[in-house]
Amino acid sequence: MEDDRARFVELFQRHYGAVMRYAARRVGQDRASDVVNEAFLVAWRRLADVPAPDPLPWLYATTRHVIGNEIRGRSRQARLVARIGDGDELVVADHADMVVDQVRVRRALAELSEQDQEALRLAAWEGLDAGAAATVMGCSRAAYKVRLYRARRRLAAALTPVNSRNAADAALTPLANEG
Amino acid sequence: MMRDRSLRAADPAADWRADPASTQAQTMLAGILATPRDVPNELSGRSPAGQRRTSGQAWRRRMAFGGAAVAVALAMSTLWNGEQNGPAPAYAVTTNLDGSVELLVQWEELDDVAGLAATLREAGVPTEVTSSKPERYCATPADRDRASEALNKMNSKGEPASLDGYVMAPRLFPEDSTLAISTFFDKSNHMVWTMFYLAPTGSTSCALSGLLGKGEYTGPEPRPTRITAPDLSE
Repeated sequence: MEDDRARFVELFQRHYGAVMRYAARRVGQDRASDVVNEAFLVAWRRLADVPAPDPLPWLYATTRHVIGNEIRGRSRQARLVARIGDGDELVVADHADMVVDQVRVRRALAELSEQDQEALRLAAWEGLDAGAAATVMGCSRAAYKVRLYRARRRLAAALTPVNSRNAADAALTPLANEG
Repeated sequence: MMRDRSLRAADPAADWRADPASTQAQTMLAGILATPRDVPNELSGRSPAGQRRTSGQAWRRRMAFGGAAVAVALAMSTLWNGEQNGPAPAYAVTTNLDGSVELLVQWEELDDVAGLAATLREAGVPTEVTSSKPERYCATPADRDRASEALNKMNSKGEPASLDGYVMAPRLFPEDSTLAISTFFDKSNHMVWTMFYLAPTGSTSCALSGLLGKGEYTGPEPRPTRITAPDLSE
C-alpha cells in the first residue's frame, strides 16, 4: 500500500501539469481541475492498470473519457465547442495578425468532428507521436495516422477560402511524419 | 508544415503552467489519497471514468469547536479514531440507543476523511465522500427542511442548533439517501469548504438537505471581510 502511495504521488507530481493542460485545452481552465481530479482518482483506484514506463497516454485517455462522460451527462458539448471556438485568449495580443490567425485556426478546428479535433490536438498541442496518440484514441497506430491525415485535410479545407481549395489540396504534405 | 505551425500557435494552453506544488494540486492529491480504492463495481469496464461521479478530498479544514455541547443521552459506544494515550483524536462517533449517531470532529486535525466516512458507516450512517460541490437541490424546500432535521438538530429558526457537532438520525434519512461529506475548493473566493448534506445514494451531485459545514480561507492576505457561502440552484 505504501509503495502504491509513493508511486501514485510520483505519478501525480510528474504528470499533473501535462494532464491539466490537456484538460484545459478541451474544457477550459475553469473546468480543468474537476476533470483532472476525476482522472487521477481513476488512476489511483486503478493504479495496477497504469502503465509504468509511459503512463501519460493512459492518463490522457482517462481524462478524455472523463470529459466525454461529462459532456454526455450534461449535454454540454455545444457550450464546450463554443468555448473552444471563441478561444480563451491566453496569447499576448501584441501582434494583432497572429492573434487573428490563432482565433481563425481555433474556429476552423472547432468546425471539425471531435475525432478530427482530437487527432490534430494530440499531435500539435500534446506533441504525441503516432503510437502514443493511438493509445489515447483507442485505435491502432496506422488508423491514427490515417485519421490525422484526413483531419489535416479537413482543417486545411476549413481554413482555405472556397475558391482556392483545390490549390491548397495540391500543396498538402503527403502524410504526417509523426512516429 | 505551415498548417501545423498555425495549429501549434493556436494552442490555448501552451503557456499555461499548472504547478503540482500549488495549493490546488496538493489539495487535490491529498483528497485522492484519502479516497478508498476498493470501491466495488466502479473499476470494471473499459472506460475507466464512466462508472462514478464521486471522489474524495481531505483538505485542511477549520471548524469552530466550542460552545454548548450537543445533548446526547444513553450513549452506547464511542469510536475514537486516535489512540487513547496519543494526541487528541480528530473525531469521535457515538452511537446512541435511539439509533442516532453523534459526530464530533476537529477539522484542523482531520487528515483521513475516508476513515471518518468508514467509521460513520460502521455506526450505521450510510456515507459517501466527494470532492465536488453539489450542483443543485433535488428536493423541495419543505423536504429539505425535514431532511436537515435528520442530519442535525435545528433550532426554531431552522438553523443548526450546534456547530460543535452533528447528531444524525439515519432512520429519518429520506429513502435511498446517503450522507455526503464534500470538501471542495471555490476558486472565486479561495475558500475550501467542507460540507455535510444528504444526497441520493450514488449521486452526490444534488442535495436533499441544506448544507452544513465550515469553510477555510486559503487565499492571499488581506482576508476578505465577507465571504458568501456556497449556494445551489433549485
